[in-house]
Amino acid sequence: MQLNHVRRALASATCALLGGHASAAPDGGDGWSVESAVLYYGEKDRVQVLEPTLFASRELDDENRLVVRGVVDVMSGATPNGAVPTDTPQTFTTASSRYTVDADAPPRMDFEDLRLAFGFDWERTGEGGDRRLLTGDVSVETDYLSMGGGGTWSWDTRDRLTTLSLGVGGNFDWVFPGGGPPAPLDPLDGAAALHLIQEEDDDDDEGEGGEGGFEEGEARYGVNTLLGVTQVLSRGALLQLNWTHAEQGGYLDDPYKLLSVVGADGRPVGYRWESRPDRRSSDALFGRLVWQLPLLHHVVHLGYRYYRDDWGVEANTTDLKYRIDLGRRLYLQPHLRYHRQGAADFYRYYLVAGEPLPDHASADYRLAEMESRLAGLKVARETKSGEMALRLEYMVQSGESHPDGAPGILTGYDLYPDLEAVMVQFTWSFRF
Amino acid sequence: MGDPHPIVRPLELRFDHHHWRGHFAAMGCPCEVLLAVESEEAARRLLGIAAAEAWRIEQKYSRYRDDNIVRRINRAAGEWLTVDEETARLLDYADLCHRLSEGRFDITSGILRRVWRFRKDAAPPAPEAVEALLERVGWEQVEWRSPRLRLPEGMEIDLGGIGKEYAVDRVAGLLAGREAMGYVVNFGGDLAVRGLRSNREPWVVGIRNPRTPSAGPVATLRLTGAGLATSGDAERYLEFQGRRYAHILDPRTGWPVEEAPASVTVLADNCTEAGMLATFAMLHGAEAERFLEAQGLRHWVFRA
Amino acid sequence: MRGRAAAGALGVLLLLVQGCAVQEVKPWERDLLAERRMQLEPSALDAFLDLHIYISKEAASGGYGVGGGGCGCN
Repeated sequence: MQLNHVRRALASATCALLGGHASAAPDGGDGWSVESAVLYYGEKDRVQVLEPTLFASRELDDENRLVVRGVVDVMSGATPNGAVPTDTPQTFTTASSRYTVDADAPPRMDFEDLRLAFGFDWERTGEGGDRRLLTGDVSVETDYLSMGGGGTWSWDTRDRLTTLSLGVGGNFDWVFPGGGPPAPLDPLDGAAALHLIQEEDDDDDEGEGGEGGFEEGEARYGVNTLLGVTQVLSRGALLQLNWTHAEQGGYLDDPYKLLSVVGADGRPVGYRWESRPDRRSSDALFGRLVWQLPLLHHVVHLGYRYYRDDWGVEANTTDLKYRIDLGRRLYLQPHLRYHRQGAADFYRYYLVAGEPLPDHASADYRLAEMESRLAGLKVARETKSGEMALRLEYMVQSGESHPDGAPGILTGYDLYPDLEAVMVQFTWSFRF
Repeated sequence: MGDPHPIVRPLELRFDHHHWRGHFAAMGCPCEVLLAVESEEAARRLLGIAAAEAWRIEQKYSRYRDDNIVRRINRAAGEWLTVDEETARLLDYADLCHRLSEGRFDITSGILRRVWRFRKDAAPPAPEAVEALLERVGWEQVEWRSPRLRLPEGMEIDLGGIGKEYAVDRVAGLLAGREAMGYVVNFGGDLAVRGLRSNREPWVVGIRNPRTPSAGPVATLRLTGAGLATSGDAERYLEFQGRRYAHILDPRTGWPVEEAPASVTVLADNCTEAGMLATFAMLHGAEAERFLEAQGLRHWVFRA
Repeated sequence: MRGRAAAGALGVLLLLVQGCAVQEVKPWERDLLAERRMQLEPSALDAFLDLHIYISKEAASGGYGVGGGGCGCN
């Protein structure tokens, strides 16, 4: 008999024995369990976000569990507008703003915004042990509204070693940037001039686009589906495989992103708004292994995702979390993540003056070919209702800074400056 | 089969320093519940809940009754039988314990009592008699596909080795979340402790050496959530021709475990776990202490 | 090429499934799997916050579940 193994096996079997109910029903509902966190996300010279978050969950009875969540994002800073740097100051005039960028500086737009998001999960366990999960989410920003929901149905087969899941979800978003969404590939100043004329006609005050609200907005919608299998591999290992498919439609542009139109010397002769297709169809294959190392009892969470869509983006993402328990309650969890993506077909650093306009073009750095590396560490102490934890992470995104064939002075600029970000998250849980 | 007859016996309740102390009889032993509650009314209600559950379990799993599931299983030997969910959980548990103890713990071993009589003046059985019975012992011969069971003909099961500790934990579970700030459920020395006394102090439990009960406790424990159980019976053994035979039988041989301790007491998270580890330790005989040390739990082993 | 790398990685996962040959795990042997740290998503909160960051900084999304709210994030 492996002596020290006995107690552990016995303890869990005893729980199973005593956990079930016999003749008398246990009392339902023992209050809310709350997990709250504050996340600071800060990019070097770019965006800063402070994000207080609250998750509250409650067992309504033996079968029903409810989770409600709320998030506030306080965002500020500067985000790349898509233009390339040049050797003179650049002024960007849009319907709602006018800003100037220093010579030789990467063009960025200052912004401030507040986002409020609320959501819920309602999980119901059926008599046969199947689980139905219903989720709903709403989020609001000054220029964006999003509503989403979904349902996932999971059931076990084969002695509860295999779980199959089917899910379907959808979202409906509304984009209403100040001054209305720009027309795709329109020259920048033209759009602004057009808007000024309108204002004079209406004899209205300089509305920030909030007025007239939805009339000056565009809709975006999507449907996504999930097919999943979770397999218990052994006493200490679990594997999940998911395939998700998403169809998006409507206004998929970023209303703040533009492209420089450069001449043969690499200097900008104008700017145009970006343009993306109004449909996007994507697939993701995701696998995740949860494995408790024998003897050490460390826990590995290894995730891998392959993604591709009909915009030509292909991406591989690997995520590793390695949990090391120190004593009964304390643990350390290093985190490594590596993401590598190819560019969308219509991604370009700039447009070239005199060349015919493409149907679609975007200089959004997120659609470029790039790789993102992340390293982090979480130190946590488990409590009855969750944990108290501090998480520090550092992320760097880098792409091709000097693309082939850049004309004139552009060869001397970094056209894809690294994005460096730190995340500091403090989490604590309580019950009431 | 007619309706089982529910058990009803007298309840006793009195106030004792900082708590109410209730008494009743179940499973062949004195049962006691200490309750940190204000009113007598609440104490009486909780005592009623405790007694009803203990009697329910006794009624359902006692091997001395002829109207329960144990009898039904034993009568159906040779045929498939579907058992209820609670019984299935107990059988799952017994199955695991059998494997964890490498066959030392076996709910089919009760049949050996037919030849073993643990009285001081009794003689040990003839080896042939033990040998003959041994063919009818062994959980590995039982087909258990939860919730369906098929006991080979001639075999019997007895859940007595789990029942009392299980009842203690069941009662402790039923009292949770009610009026009591804390309570102790004590069924013949196997107990579960939860919460605090009315004076906001932990419950105090003393452990005595069963060989020298008047000498005062060898340990005094202050507990707020734990299970404590004892295996072994210092008074029950048989002595024959200078040899002492312990009360505990090894189902693999049909003979008493050699060099078994007089008693083993284990402190664990709950009474069932404590009881099973104490039983395993007894079954390890001379190795009892070594087994318990490997489990990393507080324990007290007394040897004659 | 990337596609081949992806196929390779998926192959490894599938091999894992078959290689481990799925041992039988009895209900009482689920002690490890029942631990919170062995759940697919031990901290829903961390996952929620991470997902929001990755979605707003990368071109890829999906794979984890359905539904969820979007954002006009920068």
